[in-house]
Amino acid sequence: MILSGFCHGHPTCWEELPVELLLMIMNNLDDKSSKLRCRLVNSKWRAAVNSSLERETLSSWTSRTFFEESVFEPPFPKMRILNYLDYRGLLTSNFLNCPLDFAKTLGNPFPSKSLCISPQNRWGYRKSNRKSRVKMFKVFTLFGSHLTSFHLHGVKVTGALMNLVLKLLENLRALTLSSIRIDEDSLNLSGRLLVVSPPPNLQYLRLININDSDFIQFFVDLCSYQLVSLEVDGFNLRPLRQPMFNFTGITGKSTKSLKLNNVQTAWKNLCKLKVSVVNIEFLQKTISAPIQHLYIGGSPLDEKVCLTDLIKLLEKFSTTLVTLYINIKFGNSDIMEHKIVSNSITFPCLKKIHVCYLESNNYKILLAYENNILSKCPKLEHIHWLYQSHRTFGDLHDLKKKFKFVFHSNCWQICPTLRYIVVSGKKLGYHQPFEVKYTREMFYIWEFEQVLAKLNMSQKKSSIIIYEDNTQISSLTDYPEN
Amino acid sequence: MALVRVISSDGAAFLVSQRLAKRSGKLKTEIETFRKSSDNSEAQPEIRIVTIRAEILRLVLQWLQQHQNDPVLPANQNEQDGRGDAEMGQSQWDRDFLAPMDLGIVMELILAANHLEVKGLLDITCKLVESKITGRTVDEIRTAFKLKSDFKGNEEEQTRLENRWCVEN
Repeated sequence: MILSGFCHGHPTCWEELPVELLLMIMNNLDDKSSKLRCRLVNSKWRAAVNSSLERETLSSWTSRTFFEESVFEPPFPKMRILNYLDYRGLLTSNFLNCPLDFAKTLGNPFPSKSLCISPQNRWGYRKSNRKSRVKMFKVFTLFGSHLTSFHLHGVKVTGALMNLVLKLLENLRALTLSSIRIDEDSLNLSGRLLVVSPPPNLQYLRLININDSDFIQFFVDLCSYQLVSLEVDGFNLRPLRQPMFNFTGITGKSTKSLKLNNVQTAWKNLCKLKVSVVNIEFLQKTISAPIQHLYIGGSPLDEKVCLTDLIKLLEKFSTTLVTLYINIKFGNSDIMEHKIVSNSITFPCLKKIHVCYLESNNYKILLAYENNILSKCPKLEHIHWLYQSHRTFGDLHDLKKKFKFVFHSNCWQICPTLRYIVVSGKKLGYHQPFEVKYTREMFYIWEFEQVLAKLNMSQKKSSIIIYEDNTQISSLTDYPEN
Repeated sequence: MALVRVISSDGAAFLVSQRLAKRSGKLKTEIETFRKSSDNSEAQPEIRIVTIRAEILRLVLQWLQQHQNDPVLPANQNEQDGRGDAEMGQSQWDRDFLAPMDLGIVMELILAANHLEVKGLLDITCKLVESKITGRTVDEIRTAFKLKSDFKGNEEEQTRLENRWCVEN
């Protein structure tokens, strides 16, 4: 209610817009090229775009959920690593393609405080780019401290290189190592390799497609006191435990910091964990941690995971779990013993469960078992079942027919907060799944129709009314009881 | 109906229902502070906003009135998933409301919405600014926003090179 008001002119100036509001505008700008163009407006806008780019780049580590399976884009700028053969005829990589006069840059040369190094990067191919080359070590020495995120891909890694990365990238918050090969000669994992402690703010670590388990384990253990998010993709991880360091070879300052660390509890900050290949030892021996988002994936082919072990693992995180993604092949015999959850365990925060079933599983028994778990999740809102099949998976109609029971399953009664059950069917090897989404309203309508049908039977009424309007449903469901 | 007097920087007074005023986070706090400090529970609160002039305050109140029955958006929604705004549709009324404004007024509205903590208005005004940026050349942006380049020496050329480095992969 506005009763009075008057207007008169007033000069305004965009120069005076506070930085945090400019930053907010830049953060919402979706289009990368527009964003980069804003860097050219003036130094204030450039600074705002830079911090927005940094935030966006880091979010690929910090806020991507396991439900967003899309391939994430590596950070930019990217530097192509040049391969050449050394005098022994071995492939050695030391030089990077870089813009002309890169080494003479004053201050920070990375707009997003991020860098991706890979032999596949195409920057530098175009003739129009005035390019030069620079030694990788020099890039780290000169500019390493500016980086907050770093992705190293497809490179042969030596102990010296790893040491440099950890020592010179001192402000690093997020690190991805993917498809790297470890140079066995220069790596002595008993202590000579990593003689420094990791950058103090390194909290997000992603290790993808590395087939040297000793390297993974050493690296993971080294960061175990500070990691908030750990994703290990494509290889077995040993159980999360209090790491045992071999202190030989560690000198001076780093010895001190490691000793300090050693009195703390490992994994006390870990909120997000993705292990794409687990083994029984991992399930049985991992220590508890405040994990909120957990992805447990595909066990090795020859080894079928025991459901009991999986439950035991989940119970270790039961008080903190919010989202859970399970993609495991269970042993069939084990599924039968489905009353193993101890009554005292509940999952008070769990909101979203995603379970993948392979065709070989007897999913109906698993579902019965799940109902047992559902009663222990007072806040559960979303269930997603992904049904994977080797055979040609008919069509949406087939899927609906097969999962018809979901529609009237007792999940809806067991879990009062449940809003959706999504069932998707996917033929292995294909990306696009069929999907059916069931809502609580649909269940109410079904329930109501059942009651109506009964009433009709008893009172011999011939007309059936179907209400489509969701707003009426809650009152309608009460009707039969009255 | 309980009312509140909201006074702009240039002295114009707006008499607004408290229910409406409380949709602004800032006014809500002010009204509550007034309640606590005042002995007379019947007294009409008076709030002076020294940073917002009448024309802008009138627009904010007009927007609040139009949206008085919307659900209140959590202030940090954007932080949680990073794209809270993208999913929000803009009503035809909002588009008509913003259409006649020049960028000077829009900026004042952004400042006012931020100061008064009106998340919904802040979102749509920022969206409008984004649409003025998208697809424009640097010079067009500078002209539209009345901004001058303050780069020294070859800084601009350097930034241009960095941009190309960031794009071509």
